[in-house]
Amino acid sequence: MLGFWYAPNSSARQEAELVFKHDRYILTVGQQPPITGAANTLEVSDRVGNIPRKITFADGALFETSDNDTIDTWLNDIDHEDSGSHVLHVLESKWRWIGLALIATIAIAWGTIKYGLPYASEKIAYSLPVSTDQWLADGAMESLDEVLFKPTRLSEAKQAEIQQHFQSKLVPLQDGKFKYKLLFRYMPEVDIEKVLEDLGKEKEQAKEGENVGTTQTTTIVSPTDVGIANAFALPSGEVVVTDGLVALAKTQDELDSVLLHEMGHVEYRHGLRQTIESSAISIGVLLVVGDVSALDSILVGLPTFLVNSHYSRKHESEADQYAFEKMIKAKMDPMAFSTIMERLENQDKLDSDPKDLEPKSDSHLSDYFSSHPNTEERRENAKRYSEQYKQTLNPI
Amino acid sequence: MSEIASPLSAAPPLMETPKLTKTVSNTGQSLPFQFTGSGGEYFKIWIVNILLSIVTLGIYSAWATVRTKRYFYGNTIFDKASFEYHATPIQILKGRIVALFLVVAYVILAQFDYTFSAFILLLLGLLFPWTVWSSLRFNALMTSYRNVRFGFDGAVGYSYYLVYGLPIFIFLVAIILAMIIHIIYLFYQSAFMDALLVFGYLLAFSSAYWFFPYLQKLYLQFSLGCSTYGQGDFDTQLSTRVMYLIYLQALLIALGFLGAIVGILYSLGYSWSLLKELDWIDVLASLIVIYPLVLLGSIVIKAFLKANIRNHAYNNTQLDHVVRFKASTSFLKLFKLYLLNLFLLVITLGFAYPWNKVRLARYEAETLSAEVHGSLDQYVSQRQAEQSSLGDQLGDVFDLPVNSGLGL
Repeated sequence: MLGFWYAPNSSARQEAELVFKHDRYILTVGQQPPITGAANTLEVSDRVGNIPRKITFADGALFETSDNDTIDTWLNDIDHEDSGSHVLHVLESKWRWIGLALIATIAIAWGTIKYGLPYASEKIAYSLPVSTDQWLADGAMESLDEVLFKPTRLSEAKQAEIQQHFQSKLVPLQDGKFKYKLLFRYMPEVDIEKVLEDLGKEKEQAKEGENVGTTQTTTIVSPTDVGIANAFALPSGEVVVTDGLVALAKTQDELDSVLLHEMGHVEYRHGLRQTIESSAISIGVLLVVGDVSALDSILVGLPTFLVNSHYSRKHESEADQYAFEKMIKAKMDPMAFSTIMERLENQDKLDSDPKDLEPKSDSHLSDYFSSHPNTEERRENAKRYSEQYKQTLNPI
Repeated sequence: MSEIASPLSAAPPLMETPKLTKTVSNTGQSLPFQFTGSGGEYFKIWIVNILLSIVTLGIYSAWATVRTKRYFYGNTIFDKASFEYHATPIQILKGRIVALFLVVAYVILAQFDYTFSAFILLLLGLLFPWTVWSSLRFNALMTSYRNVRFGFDGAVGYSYYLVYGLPIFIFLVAIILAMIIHIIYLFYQSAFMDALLVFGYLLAFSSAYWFFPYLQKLYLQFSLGCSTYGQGDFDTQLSTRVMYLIYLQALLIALGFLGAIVGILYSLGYSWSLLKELDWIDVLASLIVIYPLVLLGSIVIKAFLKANIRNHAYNNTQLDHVVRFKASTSFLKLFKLYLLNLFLLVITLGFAYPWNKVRLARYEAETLSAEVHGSLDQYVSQRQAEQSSLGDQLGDVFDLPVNSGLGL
């Protein structure tokens, strides 16, 4: 076969011919007499596609040729040590293998995302000590208080009443692995109009030179304002309810159902699992796509986000189920949960969309506001458990 | 986009051409670069890379990287010879494991402990200039053409100077100037001094922006100009004026898009005074109008900068006095290419990626040529110390711009 011969370490080249005879090669460079040597002294570069091959001689000289097929046939014939890498090329060049690879890739990716990762993260989370969850939540409440919350406006008496009920009735329903703590907070509404107005006022004041530096932008709220209704749990077992949610709940069962849902997140270690799952997804994406440019990263980001929300929804359903089971055990009608969720959703529709108030990173906050597409499904589930509950009340 | 894959970007520019004629021609001979790969062929390599990387839990990704680079280097042909990428998968794997360990530590710690993650960030910040230098060196050393290796003889100190020394110095000078104005202002107030003061501070705090074209010029002269081929030296001399002109034009384009967006919003009936009465639905609707414009604008600007800077950089680069490069990237063609690639990527859910990458590599080669004066036969590989791939892998993993940035 024909190609270029390069002197050792040099860019000087001459046209040359390399011929294989069993385990010997015969090299003819230009008009010079042929040189011969043993095949196993040659180092042959791996085949990738149809790129020119480089055959390096023991002295550092190089023979470059595009005649890939001749080289491969000969390497196989003499069972040269560099023939092993040929397997990869076969894999990369036959459409039937490619079809298989394509199907296998999609199947594995789907299976891992749907079953593998949730299963693994569950196993890992349950094998880690409870202190990991506490570590995860360390300092979180302080930051949330700074950004989102104000002290509760509930009366001492009301707080004590809910607190007492929580500790005596709900906490004993759990395994006792976690130490639960119920916290009350006021979560102010952020009103865009109001903020803009205040900004305007501030500017005017600044112009007039009055009160510079003492601007009070705190929204003045009527005493009946209870703020946003929300509840969430930190992995450490701190359960937070807002004044808004306490006001929204018409019965004790409704409030309990929400609290139990949150405790379900804690018991099922959802904070930890979400951390494991989203880290694994990010690392996986990094490994597969390697070099993502800024433009491509929009395209990579969307599926990553969708997968993470899928896990989050799954966790929500698990927590729902947990709440329903505990409610039946405590002789409460699971329908209460559905009732309060629907009331919340209706209230939500009246208000403007407060979604962007949610800190995005805290995906383990149960986001009661985002209109989950599966509210219907949640109600159906509640109904099923409710039937079960009624049966336990009046066994036939 | 294809920065990693093509030797035209990841490594120093290429070389030259022989012609055994002993007579040195003054005009030289202009020879084209060519890319001979095909989308279908690369698709097969790509899908096998992905499958094996998944099955081996990422370990094969080092082999995948090497095969990909070899495919793109090997298919880049100049004067009947191809480029070769020499890094071994094991070398890449070692660097990648250390880099990945750092990322994982960072990702996990960042979720709960700020002190540790801040420490890792600080460490990476200190390492960054070294990463750039080490990556340039690694990629150059791992590239060969006609049996001779490229190299890089830039100093690591210069990398620190470019990334930290010079920018901090400029910032300090600007801030001191602004403070002097401030002191004068305390004694002597006027409307003019008012304006001057604001302007001074603005200039100081935006020094990262107005200084950038000059920094990029220095960086290109470093990344390209400090490259070597055998005993031969590359030389890159760029014009500060041209760099600023390019960025000025890009700024005008950006302002044009901004104007269009404001115009559209205005014609839709919005104005600042109305802002507070806006409904979320209206905001959403206008976002649907604005987002494509912003995307389009960013693609136009990216294409404009890439095409012009690449042309300017290569057109002022030579190897000894033997090889002169000539790049003729067309902004419009590049823009169309980016648009087409994005469109195909979206409608195929990402599976057009291999074809896109090949399309870019082909255009990259098509628009590059070199004039050879004399012979390329005299180059000889130089011994250079072995090099770890950690810097390169760190750069990759953190998506840092650790090559010349001239890839399309």
